[in-house]
Amino acid sequence: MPEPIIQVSNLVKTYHTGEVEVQALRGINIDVPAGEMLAIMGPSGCGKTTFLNCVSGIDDVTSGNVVIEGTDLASLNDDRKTEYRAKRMGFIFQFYNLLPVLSAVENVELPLLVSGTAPAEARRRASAMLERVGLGAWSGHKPAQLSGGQRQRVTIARALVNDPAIIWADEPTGDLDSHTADDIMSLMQQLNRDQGQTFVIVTHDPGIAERCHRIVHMRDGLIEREEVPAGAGAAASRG
Amino acid sequence: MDSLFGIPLTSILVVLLALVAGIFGVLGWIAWRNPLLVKMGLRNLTRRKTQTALIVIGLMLSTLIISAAFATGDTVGYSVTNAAYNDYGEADVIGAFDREKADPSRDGLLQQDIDAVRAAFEGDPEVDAITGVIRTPAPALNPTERLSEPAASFVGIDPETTDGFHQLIDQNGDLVSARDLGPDEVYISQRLADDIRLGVGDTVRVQYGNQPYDFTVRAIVRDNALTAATALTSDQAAGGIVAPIERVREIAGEPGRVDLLVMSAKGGVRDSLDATKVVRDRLEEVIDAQGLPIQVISDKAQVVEIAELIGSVFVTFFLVFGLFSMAAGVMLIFLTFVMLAAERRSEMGMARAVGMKRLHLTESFIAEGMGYNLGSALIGALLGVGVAYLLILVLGNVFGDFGLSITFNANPVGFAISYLLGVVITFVTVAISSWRSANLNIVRAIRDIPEPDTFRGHDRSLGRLFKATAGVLWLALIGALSVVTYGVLTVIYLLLKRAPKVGRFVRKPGDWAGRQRNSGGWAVVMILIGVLATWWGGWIDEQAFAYTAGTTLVLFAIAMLASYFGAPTRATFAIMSTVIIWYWLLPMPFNLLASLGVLPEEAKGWGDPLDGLLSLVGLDHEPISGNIEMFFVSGVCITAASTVFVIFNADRVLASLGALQAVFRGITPAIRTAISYPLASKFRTGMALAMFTLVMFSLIVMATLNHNFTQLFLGDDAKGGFDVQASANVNNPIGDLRTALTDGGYDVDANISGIGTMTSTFWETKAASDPEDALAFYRFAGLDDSFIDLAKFPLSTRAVGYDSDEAVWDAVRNDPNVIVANESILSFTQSQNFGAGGEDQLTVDGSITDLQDNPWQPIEMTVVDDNGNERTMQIVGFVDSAIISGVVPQWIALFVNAGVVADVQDANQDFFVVTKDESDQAVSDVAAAIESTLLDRGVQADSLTQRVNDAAAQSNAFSTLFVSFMSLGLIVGIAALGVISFRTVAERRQQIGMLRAIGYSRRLVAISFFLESSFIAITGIGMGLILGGALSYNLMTSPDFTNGQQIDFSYPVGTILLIVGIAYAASAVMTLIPARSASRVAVAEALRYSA
Repeated sequence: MPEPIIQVSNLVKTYHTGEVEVQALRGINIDVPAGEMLAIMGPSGCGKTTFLNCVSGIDDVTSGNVVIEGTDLASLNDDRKTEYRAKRMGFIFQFYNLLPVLSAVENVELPLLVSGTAPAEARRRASAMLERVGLGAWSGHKPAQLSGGQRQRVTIARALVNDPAIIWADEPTGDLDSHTADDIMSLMQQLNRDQGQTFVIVTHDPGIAERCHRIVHMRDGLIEREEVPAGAGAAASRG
Repeated sequence: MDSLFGIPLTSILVVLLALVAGIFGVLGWIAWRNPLLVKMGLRNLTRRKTQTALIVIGLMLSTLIISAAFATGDTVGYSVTNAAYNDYGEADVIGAFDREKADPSRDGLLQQDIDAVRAAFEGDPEVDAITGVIRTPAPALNPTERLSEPAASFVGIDPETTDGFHQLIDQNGDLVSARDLGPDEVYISQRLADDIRLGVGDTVRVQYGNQPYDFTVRAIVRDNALTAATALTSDQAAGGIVAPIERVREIAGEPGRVDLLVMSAKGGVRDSLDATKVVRDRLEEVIDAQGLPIQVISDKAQVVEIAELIGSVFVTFFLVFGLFSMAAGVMLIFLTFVMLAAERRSEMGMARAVGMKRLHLTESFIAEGMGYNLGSALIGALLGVGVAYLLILVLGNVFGDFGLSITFNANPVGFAISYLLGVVITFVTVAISSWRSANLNIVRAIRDIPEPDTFRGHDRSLGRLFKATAGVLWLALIGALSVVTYGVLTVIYLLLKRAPKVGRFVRKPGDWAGRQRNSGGWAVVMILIGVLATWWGGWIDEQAFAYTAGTTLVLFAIAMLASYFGAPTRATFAIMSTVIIWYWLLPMPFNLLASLGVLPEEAKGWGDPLDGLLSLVGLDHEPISGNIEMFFVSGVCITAASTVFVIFNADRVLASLGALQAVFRGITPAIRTAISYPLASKFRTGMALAMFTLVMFSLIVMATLNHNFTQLFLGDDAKGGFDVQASANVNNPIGDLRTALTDGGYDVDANISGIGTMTSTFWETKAASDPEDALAFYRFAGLDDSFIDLAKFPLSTRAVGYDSDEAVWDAVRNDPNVIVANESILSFTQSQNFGAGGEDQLTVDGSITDLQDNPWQPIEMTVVDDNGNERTMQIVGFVDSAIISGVVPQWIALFVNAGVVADVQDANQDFFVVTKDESDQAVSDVAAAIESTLLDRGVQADSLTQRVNDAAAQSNAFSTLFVSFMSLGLIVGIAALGVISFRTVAERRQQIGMLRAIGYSRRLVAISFFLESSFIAITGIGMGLILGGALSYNLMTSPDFTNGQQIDFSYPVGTILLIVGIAYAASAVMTLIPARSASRVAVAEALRYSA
């Protein structure tokens, strides 16, 4: 079994909203090996997105440890954490979260520019990544001029352009019709297979989860159970 | 102050009250029909407190400016009125000798004239007292301390008749009487006591007819019309020595002499204005009936009216100069509500989806807007009074130099008008912006999809354009007819009663600006209005503002129409805005091309291409005239055009900033987002840019014009080549200054290189070409050869036959019939100056530029001397206006040969000295030496350098005051940036979260937001600088604007840097706060956030 790229132990996250305390995560333990495509499922409010935010370092944990590629995230200050995210992680959101004022290629090259890549090189790599996700001809279009599926492809291109080790996807197909969702999932599977990147996908859609290597079911801030989908290996290799 | 722009304040108040009542009616109606809408609107007030605070600040600024203008004007009016009451006291009507009505043997009033008036008013219930006064200049000395006041008044009052005026009030506030004065006792006025440090019991020496007379000071009394020459009752303001009239007659050797007739109307100091008018009228009847040689020279009622007029002028000035800030304030209100609407776009879409009508959304916004409005207008009006108080502190210092004490006084009527006007302006702006904001497509709003290009019609057919145009015109016609027929209030009532139907009706005709949002109809209507305004301004009323604004409107509308029919928006508006900028900077573009040799030299005069084109077919218009309003009109037009240009083209320019990315690689992503966001929101960026540009433009123009006018009128040229003016006392003539100084032991040769003598008197004159004109008194200044040799009086223009300035001055030297005049007598100059003109003023038709452009023959003048002899003289040249800047008031004269006035008795004698050492200190030393050497002759000597510096300081103080007032607009611009920045952070929370997630550090997020706001501030400041600088240059190099004066144009670099620095620093501070808060957004929370 490959070395775990993500190691989570006793992860607790508590929110304080006014006088109410909400325990969103109540002691999660999980290891994710490099190159795995992991689906996280569960009912609304079970803590899926909170888990993803805490493990990816965009939210602070209340207690417990999150170790990514051997680095304890808690040991990093905000700037180092941000830098780490820029270089080693990619994010795909349900509502795309593209900057509406930038064109597709400009959106994709942002993480490269943040990481200090020269603008010309950033543009070249962003264009290549857009070609790869099938949007070469749309690189000059702004998000409002693209369909939902196209926007999500731009988001995927943005997530992958920096060649990250881990891609976090929060309901990546939640805003898409089933046909487009299928296309997007196929694309992610292909990229996972070709580049060996680790995908952590939060989803409600069993069809999407079925196409991952492993499914983690959450309930009330805890991992309820794990399962390996029946056709996991085939699905992954089918791409 | 009772009126503004000629409209009584009470009328303005009543109209505003009616309008505000209408507004409350609208609100009440909304609350009654749909209380939920009002609740929705009002609850938004507390949603975001910082934003609410910014909105309130933005909304209150217009009110603040209006309130400050009123309070300042009220204070100035009140203070001048107060000064009038203090100076006049109960001396309500003042008369003096009228040579025209007198026997030729008489050269002044006599006691018998006063007695005749007294007899005529015997028993008149409207008159409290009548007296005769002598008031003549005589130097006063404090022999103990060797201090003198050369311009003091020696006043003789009649002990028998003066007590009825209650004017002799000592330092304890007690009345004293001239009856109590011993033979060698006098009262002195407080000002004289202060000037030469005299106290009760001290000796004061009066120099008269070159003889000293010593008196003992019995008491010190207040300065007023009976005790001294005060600022309002005389053209001089210096203290006085008050003695019994018989004693003064005895010293003067003129038995029976009286200088002034003074009458007290029934009542006290402040309650005698009506009686004053009656007494004046009756006095004039008596004078006519009895043929008395008296003319009424002033009355208290008239002075009080003028004082109130001055207050009104101040209000007008501050309002006009505040127009820029008010315009920026209105734009801010509009922008604020457009942004609020953008923030709630999806909410509003949902509301519409569940059944709310557009009218409901508008009503909800209006309710919210009025929630902000009612409070902010009150705060604004109160703060305006505070700002006025600060302005008054500055004004007080400036007016103090004129001997006027300023007392703060804010009138409740002005305050109420400011508040109500603020409420009305804000309501109208809120209503329009609410209506615009509610005009949304439900699906686009819910899904947050941008609205389509508003300039492009869906259906570009001529038929649709016609329908849209007809719709707009139809509505305008119906509206106008309704208002004319039923009156404003009835129309408001009907609109309220029938609102849903009216709403449907409004949308129907051509769907003119409804859901289709096409601009074609508006463009056609704008063209119609523009053509009408151009025609009216050019050919009917010759008004520059209507002509130029009309042509600008047409140009803008043509671009809208072209875009409506499918022309590329960017290119169309770029061309249009360039043309408008070019048009407003005319003739500078032609000047530049002519200077480069591209156009012929005469192109420098091309300032009106439309008129030039129409002149080809004989339809050119008469010359048009503009006034201070052109400053505002030009600012608005030029700012609007340049903003449109920048907004439609900035992306091209900014693309070149890509080069910077290599230099600032660390912040490349920040630069990318900082530039993209403002350009993506063209409307809000354009509004903010326009606000900044407009305010900067106004400040730059104001500062530059003042700087150059100060240079022009208060530079070394204003000294006319001399360093010191020494004025002889009319009762102690000098003869020859050089001899007098040498006799006094002063080493003239060591310190003075030349002395010119000017002898002046007032004669009656008029242009001979106009027999209908009345004769008017004007100063005739006789110049001796030495004066002509030493003077540096450049001429603006010369008559035909005089090839050089020297030829003109040689003519003055040799020809007793030659006059050199100044432009203040020309009708055009008088029409440009507030308060000038009138029957008593010498006026010659024409303008300096006409005379400069067209050869002119010597202008014949009819002159009547003090003996009643008539002669004809000729004006052959006009001196440069710097000479008549007021540094030497006696130079506002008709210059003639010294021999012309040589025989005049009691002529004024002024000596103009050129010093050997021209340093400021040396010049001041010479002036002081002249004064002390001729102390007992009452010679008053001043350094002209010092006068120029003092006048420039005063001018700068006024300028600083106006620039400070106008810079209130900067607060508007900065508040706009704040509103945008805070709104942007809230609006983009989720995007900030995403950026932070993909690797933007806190610093990078902050830099991005800071740069974004800086883009607006820097561009606005830059545009204001360029446009304001260009227009100022254009104006100051235009002979029409400077009345033909050649000017060495320069920019006040220090002042401009200060303005720019303050503007940028303040905007930076304002944008740093939201930038910082953006950087602190919690990432996970932001990603969950739904805007």
